[in-house]
Amino acid sequence: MDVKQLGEQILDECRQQGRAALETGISRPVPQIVDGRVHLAYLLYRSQVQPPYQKLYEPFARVVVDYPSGEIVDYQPLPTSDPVKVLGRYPHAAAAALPRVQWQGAWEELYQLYPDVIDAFAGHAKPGQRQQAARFRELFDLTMPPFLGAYYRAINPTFFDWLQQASLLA
Amino acid sequence: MRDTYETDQTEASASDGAKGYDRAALEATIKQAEPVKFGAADQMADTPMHTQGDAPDCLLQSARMAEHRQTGIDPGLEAFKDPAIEKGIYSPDKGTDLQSFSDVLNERPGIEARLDNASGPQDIKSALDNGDSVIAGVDSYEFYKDHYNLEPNSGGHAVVMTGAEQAPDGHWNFAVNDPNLEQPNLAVDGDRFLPAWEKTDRAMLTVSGKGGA
Repeated sequence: MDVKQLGEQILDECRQQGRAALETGISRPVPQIVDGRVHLAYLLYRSQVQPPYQKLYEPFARVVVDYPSGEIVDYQPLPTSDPVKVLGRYPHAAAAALPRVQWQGAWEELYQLYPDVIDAFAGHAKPGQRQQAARFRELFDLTMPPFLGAYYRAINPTFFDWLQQASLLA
Repeated sequence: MRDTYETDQTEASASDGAKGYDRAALEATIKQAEPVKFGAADQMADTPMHTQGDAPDCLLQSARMAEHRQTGIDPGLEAFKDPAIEKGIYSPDKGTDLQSFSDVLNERPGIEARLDNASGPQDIKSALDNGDSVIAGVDSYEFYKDHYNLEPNSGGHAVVMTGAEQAPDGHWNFAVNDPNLEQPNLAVDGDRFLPAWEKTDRAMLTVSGKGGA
């Protein structure tokens, strides 16, 4: 399954259901295992491009999707400030430092690694897992602005602990 | 333009010299660009420009531009904002529900609007040739990604189409009023516009004047 397209599909569904506005963006997914099934959890937040920046606001909802069927299994509104607070803006320093082609390539590679990393997190070990996990972690950190780190970790700390261990194990 | 936030001290700032991330320089460059007019003389290059600020009101400002062009009178932002808030279609915290927004437009006295998923760019050209205003929904990342390092799966954006033409070789060129930028009738290559439009299933809000524009 194309994980990037899945995110677009989920965002589109949320818009159709009135749960997301035109200006809503969707995070990359964080895997979680629930009763033996793989779920992907996303954050929804206002993501507004104001050239040359992109402002990201506090997440206002968490959407959980069954993987790989792509069916939304949970939608939870999240508490936000009133008015909702700007967390920061793209590009963060690491992103601004990369040439555009390299930046876009980093995202493509990250999404291409997702299926194997999800599979490994679900317990299906494969040769080369450590290298994949290490590269995934490197790209995830590179593309994530620091101000969103705590929000991603809060979705499922177990995944990030596993990712750290998996990328270190020889 | 310089913003400071409490929690983003590690991001690139407007003053740290990161190439390509200076809002003032960007605006100066755009102002030097010559406006372009594509297509037939009766296309919509004379659409008045209304820009957005920090609020997520690109669709509201686009509607304002469309009505201004169709009626010759600037209705102001509140003409769309107040009823949209009342109907739960717009929130200053989240933005605008594109699917329902035509309801707000259709309550305006001088215009009527229709939201479609267009079959292709020819629909835009036909509407402009007909004297209608066209608001297109685009994916922000796809629309701006060749100019700035942004996050994919971003929010959407609304722009007012002011020109559309197809070259003999089949290539499309467009001109837009982008509420994010002050310069009207910015040239947008089809290779940039069409993938960004495709991501919104070619969302197209056609705004017509009642009784002829």
